[in-house]
Amino acid sequence: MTTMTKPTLVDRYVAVAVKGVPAEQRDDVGAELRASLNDAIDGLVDQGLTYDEAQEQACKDLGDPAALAAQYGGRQRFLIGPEYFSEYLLLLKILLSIVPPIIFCVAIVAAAIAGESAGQVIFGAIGVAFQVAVQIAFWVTLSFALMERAGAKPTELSWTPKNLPEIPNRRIGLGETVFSVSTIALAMWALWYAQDHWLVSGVDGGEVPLINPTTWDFWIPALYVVLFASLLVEIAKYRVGYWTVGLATVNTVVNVAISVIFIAVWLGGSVLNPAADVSELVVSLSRLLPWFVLIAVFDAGYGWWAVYRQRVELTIDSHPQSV
Amino acid sequence: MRSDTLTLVIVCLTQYCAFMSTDEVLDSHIQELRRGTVVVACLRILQEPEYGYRLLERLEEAGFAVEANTLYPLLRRLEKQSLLTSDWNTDEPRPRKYYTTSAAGRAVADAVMADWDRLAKALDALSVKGRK
Repeated sequence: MTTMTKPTLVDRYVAVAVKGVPAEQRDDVGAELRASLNDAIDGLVDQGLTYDEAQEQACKDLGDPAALAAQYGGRQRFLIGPEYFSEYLLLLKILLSIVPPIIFCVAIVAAAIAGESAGQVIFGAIGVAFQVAVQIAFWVTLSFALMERAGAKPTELSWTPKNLPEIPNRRIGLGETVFSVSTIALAMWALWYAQDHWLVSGVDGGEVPLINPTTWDFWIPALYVVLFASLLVEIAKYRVGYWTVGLATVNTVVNVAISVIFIAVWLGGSVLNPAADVSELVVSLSRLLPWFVLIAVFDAGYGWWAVYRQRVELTIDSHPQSV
Repeated sequence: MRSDTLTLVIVCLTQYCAFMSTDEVLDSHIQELRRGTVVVACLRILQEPEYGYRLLERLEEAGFAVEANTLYPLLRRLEKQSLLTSDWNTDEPRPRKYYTTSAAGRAVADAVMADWDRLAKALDALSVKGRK
């Protein structure tokens, strides 16, 4: 049986096909495939083809050996199957909507601390956030692909009507969230930047920071905590997709806290550096304070108004025939 | 003259594409309908032991158009489901794997055929209603 001739087309076809078949079936499938191919070749030779032509035609008829192997229940020809796909997409969306924005803000603060220029800070943060996003996508995809191949069944994740979201249409878009998050991040960065770079001429000549360095002892760190909290509110809001009573409450608390900090610092009179020559500035800035509080009141109120409006719409939507 | 020819070509191409697409739709539906029938045909033919290539020929003769690369993996699946049993015949110079329908396979074939009859009657009844 054993010949020293070079492998035929049939040999090569079978070799590729069995590679994709589970190891324990390889010999059996290979032997059967070889017999079937040789039978087909005999049939084609009987029809008048030469042996070489018949060999080529028989292989052609069976098609791509890798696809055939997949039919034998070998390697899947997809990365993540329909069983896992919705969970995969959900996890990816959640992680990508939370982690890179946080990393972005952290990177901005960190770069600002390191004293880099505004351009460096922004582009550096975008780069880091992008890298993190790519890493997340890669590892989540790899985990699901491995799970798919390990044959674990996501039974506990199987769908029930309870999985339906409370309100199907998303009212808070990604654009709104990105805008809010970047605004807060910018404020955080500006606050940090100001301590070393926002300089005005001092009373004694020379340049001094506009913001009183003593505010860094307590008030500015407190402001950072509140800004960070508002960042979390934005992210939570995006995840939920609409305003809830809880979110509106937290949003109100955050706005009240910001206002309190501003008013306290202002009334304490220590926000501007006493060493700075800023008598005119003080007058113009103090005019801004009521407006700032007004913005905070409006922002806090907006959350409640959104909750109220949603309730009204929902009661109308959910009883369309109860007239 | 030129533009007329061009228009004609475009019209023909559009018609050809439309024809092709309806053809493909029809093909996909017929294929879907036939998928289960090949299984029953195999289970019926394999009451007598037969090997892959010969079964392919017999299916073709019986009017079941099936590709070799569909049939061979199908036989494995049916074997795995215990609807078929298999034996290697090594008496001849070319060893071949022979498949035979098991008792479970016969039962499945009967049950599927019963359902087929029921569906055919139900569809007939629908068409009669439609004509009236």
